[in-house]
Amino acid sequence: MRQLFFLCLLLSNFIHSQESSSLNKSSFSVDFGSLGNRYIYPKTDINFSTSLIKSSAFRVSARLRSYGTLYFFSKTAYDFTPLMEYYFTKTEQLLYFSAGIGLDARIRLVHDSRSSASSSVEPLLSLALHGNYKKVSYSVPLWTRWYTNGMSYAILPQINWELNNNALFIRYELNYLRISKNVSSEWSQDLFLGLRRSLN
Amino acid sequence: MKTTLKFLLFGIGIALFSCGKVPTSVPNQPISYFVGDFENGTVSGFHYLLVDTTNNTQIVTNPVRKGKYALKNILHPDDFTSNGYRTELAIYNSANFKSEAYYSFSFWVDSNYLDTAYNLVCQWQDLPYYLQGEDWTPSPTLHGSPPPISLTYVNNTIELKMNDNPSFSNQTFLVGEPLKIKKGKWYDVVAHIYWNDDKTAYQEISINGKFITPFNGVDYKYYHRNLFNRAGNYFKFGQYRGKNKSEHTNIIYFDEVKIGSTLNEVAL
Repeated sequence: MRQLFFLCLLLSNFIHSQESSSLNKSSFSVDFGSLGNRYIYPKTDINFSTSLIKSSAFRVSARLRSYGTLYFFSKTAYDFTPLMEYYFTKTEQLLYFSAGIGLDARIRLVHDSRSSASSSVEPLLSLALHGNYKKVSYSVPLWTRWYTNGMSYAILPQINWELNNNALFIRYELNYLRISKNVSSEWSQDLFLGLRRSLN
Repeated sequence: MKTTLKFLLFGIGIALFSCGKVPTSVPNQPISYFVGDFENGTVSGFHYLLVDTTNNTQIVTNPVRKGKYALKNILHPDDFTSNGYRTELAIYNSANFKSEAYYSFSFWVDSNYLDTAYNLVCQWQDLPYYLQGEDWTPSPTLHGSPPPISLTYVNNTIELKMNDNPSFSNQTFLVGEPLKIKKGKWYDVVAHIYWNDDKTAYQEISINGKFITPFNGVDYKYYHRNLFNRAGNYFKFGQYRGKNKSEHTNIIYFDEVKIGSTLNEVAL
């Protein structure tokens, strides 16, 4: 993991930068999904992202995911994911990196004796690859989450089509959940379509 | 910024103490051993999916498969609840991911039963994947389908029906051959099922000692995926007609409903 971190740092210094300031902009996005593993199940995300201090390399973001709805309000389940990331660049480039830490709060509101789901909060580590080319930008975060009985990894590649202050995007999410003791694992996937707006 | 960082680090510290379990089902969790023989003269111990226990269930002394009492299950034309015409009794924690289980029950179709349209006498219904945020009532409803496995009484036969597609309601398929059923006679069902969301899952089902699952060259296990997700299924019995309203009141008797981990546990 440490080698990967330094490799990211090294690569980011060699890449030619483009003049852009969108790293300092705040943005708001909404997206809708999802493909699911075996059937379609509605989910929605609201995401807000901003730089901590103007022209600093730190950004904070928070994502609220609602389950079982395309209308953002759910009576059954939410995930709340605040994240703080350090960007190894101050300007957008063809390729650059970020690393961050955060929390993943699973809020489960279902009261059904057939359910064993419960609310919890897990720490989250994010390593991400980003890039810009003309009207297209992309990001490929890799999230690692820790649980009492195992870990999960998620890769969330997202491609944005930039339109002035707005962007249309598509994001695929592939999760690998692993229980250590039983040596059991599960893959799951989601697909989201969304709209992002820069706020300043 | 320092304040934010401190806040975040504090949050992570909190998170380390409030971590939950990986949101995926642990395989091979034990099922609850269950006996529902109605010998205490009630329908206690079950979860109800019916309009009214008084109108839809009666404990009777005749006919009885074993012991003193059996259940008289009555479905009236207007008994619509939980999105279907039904009068069912359910047992939870009865079909877990990557677990093997045995189920048995006896049923008797009343001599005055008139309908020929389908009526599920038992089903192993799928569950929402609660661990991954799902629930019964997403909005909009983008999937909903017949259960992965059911025993269907239709046109004086019992059919083993399976469903492979959780997104459509018209893609069930028949396993084996329909078994002719005589009214006014007890039939003993034994189902041996391994639950999984891949092709290692199997079901081996017999009625009055005769397998209704086809012979595969080695045994009567019919290998086919029987979970839509890893939340598992749960067992229900009684009468379920979906959205098809009947003109008649129909009666089926049940006795000796058992769930266990071995054949001995569910034997009559």
